[in-house]
Amino acid sequence: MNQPSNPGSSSTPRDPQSTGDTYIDWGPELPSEFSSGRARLMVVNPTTLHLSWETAAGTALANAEAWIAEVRIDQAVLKSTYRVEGIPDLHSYNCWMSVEPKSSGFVRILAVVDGQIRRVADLAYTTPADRPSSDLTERWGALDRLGGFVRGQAAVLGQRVPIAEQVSSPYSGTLAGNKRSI
Amino acid sequence: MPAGSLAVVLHAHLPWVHHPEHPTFLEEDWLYEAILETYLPLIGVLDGLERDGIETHLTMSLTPPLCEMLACPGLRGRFEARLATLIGLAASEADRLQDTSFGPAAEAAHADLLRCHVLWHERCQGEILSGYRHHQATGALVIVTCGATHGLLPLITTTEGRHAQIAVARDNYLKHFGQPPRGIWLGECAWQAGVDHALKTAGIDITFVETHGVNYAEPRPRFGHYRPILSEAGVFAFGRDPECSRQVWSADEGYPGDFHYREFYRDLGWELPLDTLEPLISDGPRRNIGLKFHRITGKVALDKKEAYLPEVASQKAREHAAHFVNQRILQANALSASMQAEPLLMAPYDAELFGHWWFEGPQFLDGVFREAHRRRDELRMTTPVDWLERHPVAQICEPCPSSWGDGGYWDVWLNGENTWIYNYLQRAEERFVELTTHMNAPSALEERALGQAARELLLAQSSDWAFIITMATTVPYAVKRTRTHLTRFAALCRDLESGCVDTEQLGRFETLSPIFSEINWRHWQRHGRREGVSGVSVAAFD
Repeated sequence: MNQPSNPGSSSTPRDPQSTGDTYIDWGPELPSEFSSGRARLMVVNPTTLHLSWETAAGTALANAEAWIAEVRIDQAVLKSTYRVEGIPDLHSYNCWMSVEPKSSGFVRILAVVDGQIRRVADLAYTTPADRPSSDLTERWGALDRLGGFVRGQAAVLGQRVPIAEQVSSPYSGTLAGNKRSI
Repeated sequence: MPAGSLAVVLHAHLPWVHHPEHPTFLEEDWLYEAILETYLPLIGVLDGLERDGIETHLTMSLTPPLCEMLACPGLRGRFEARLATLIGLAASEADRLQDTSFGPAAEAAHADLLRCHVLWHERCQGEILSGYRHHQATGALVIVTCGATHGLLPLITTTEGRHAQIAVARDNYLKHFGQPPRGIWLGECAWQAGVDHALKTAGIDITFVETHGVNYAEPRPRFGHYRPILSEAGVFAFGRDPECSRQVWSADEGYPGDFHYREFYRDLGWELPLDTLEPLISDGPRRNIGLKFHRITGKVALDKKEAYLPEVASQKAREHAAHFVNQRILQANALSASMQAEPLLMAPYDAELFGHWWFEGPQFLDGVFREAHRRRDELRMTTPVDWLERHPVAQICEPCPSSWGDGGYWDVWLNGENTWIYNYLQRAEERFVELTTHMNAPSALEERALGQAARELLLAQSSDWAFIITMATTVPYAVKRTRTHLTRFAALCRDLESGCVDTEQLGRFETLSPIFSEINWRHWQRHGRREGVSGVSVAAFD
């Protein structure tokens, strides 16, 4: 599901089409053109992003010769690139992009207009984890009667601190058992 | 001293479906079926447990759209008419089949409907929520809320939009239950970084996440999903236990697949002559009507299903309940030994599983609470609120972004079939935040228009539509609903932006979507709230 694909156009289900005697009412048409450009990057799962963008009719970007979407981890490291050739009178695009789990970066959208590459937008992302964390440090807390946060400090690696001891002293700032700096 | 605790959580939800513009509407059947097969029987179960002095600790989420439909006079009237018709039909079937192998099933179906009639008219006086309020007041039940229209918060693009889903839900809960909610069932248990800030702002500090929402948390929780964790913003996240789920949900090894249980797909709506079904199916094709007289029998074709035997099925439900409790005790004992601490087994389910999809489900639940009461020295039934009273301390971890949808993240709501929805939702959300933030001293008419625009936006945000499109069930209906609400929203915004509200159009929209009478459009105003990190990044360009 959601394998990286070549960019393609977004589409809404088409208007009612008769299938034999069956009329399907899809409801009112939604706009196919927009008065302003938007790009949105949505995290789908730990390894997949969905990028979509629409241009405003009549603008230079609406006539872009090509679009390029780059996944970047930082300014210098380019992870992957997707490219779509401009399609006349098409104002919306979307593509699926592969990334690493539990990673952060951004997607840069570029457009080729009159032979020049123009940066259109940078969109940040953070993907979720797909496995348990390797961080075993521990902090414990509770809420006071007003819902405020009360934290205790405990960093015990490989040493078990009985829960009863923690419950008895959640607000003291220290807990029984061996401690090490977090 | 019990080795562990079990928290059963039932999530009761239906999307807002009410079409007063039609005398009957097929999709409204979803509500009527759920009332007859789940919501009323669950009240019956709770009443019985109370009557017999069985200590019950159950948690239920009743979503705002469901509460609004249960309280809607128009839908209540339609339900009563349907109930009366079904009772008549069941009585005639019981007569017709009394000397056949289907006699017991038909007789039991008629008796069940008569019980529902008593529960509806005498017990609840047509107001189901009063039954649930009663059990919340006695302490047997904890009711939590859900996002206003079951919106998937990680895919809502603005901080204001997420805040509004929660704030509208809180206001609605206050209207129906007279007090603010402490807990919330996030739509699809969808957690994303920053969601906890929106919950905390609304005074909510309890929620539920999928198993890996806890197990993949940062840092790694010492006790995995067998203890709730506490987010940095101060929200307790309770993780689902997959073992509890497997025994109930699994199509292959779960209890509901037992061959003695009632077969869902053999329904009289497909078998009786159309003129007999006329009052129930007057507006379209044949469909389920809820009268079913066959048992699962085995892995056989539908036409090979045999007669349902209610007494045998009831006995099976009691056996399965005892087995379930015993398995939980064994599980808790093993966990307690390795954890050296009391484990919490969180068992969340869709409420509609019990009664609608699995007919004997309410009997199973009744059996679970009775058996757990009998063995209360070995297993403690609890709710998240009770648990926190006894265990106020939790490990501070940031839950992993996750959902309980297929795949564990957002794939169900964001795929090739439904991504188009978000182009429009994101723009609509952005537009409404701007509109409300800059709205200055609106007139009474503009207040109404703003409220209705908020309703239309919320209804378009319902995660049910994207879900239905993915599941390929009633796709045209889901698409139409999305388009319709977005179109109405846009029309109202145009009116407000131009300073000229079409009164006739507004009145029509209000009549067609009479949800959230208490809605407060100011929830969408930008107030400099702390920005969380959603699963969406947006940029504008020329």
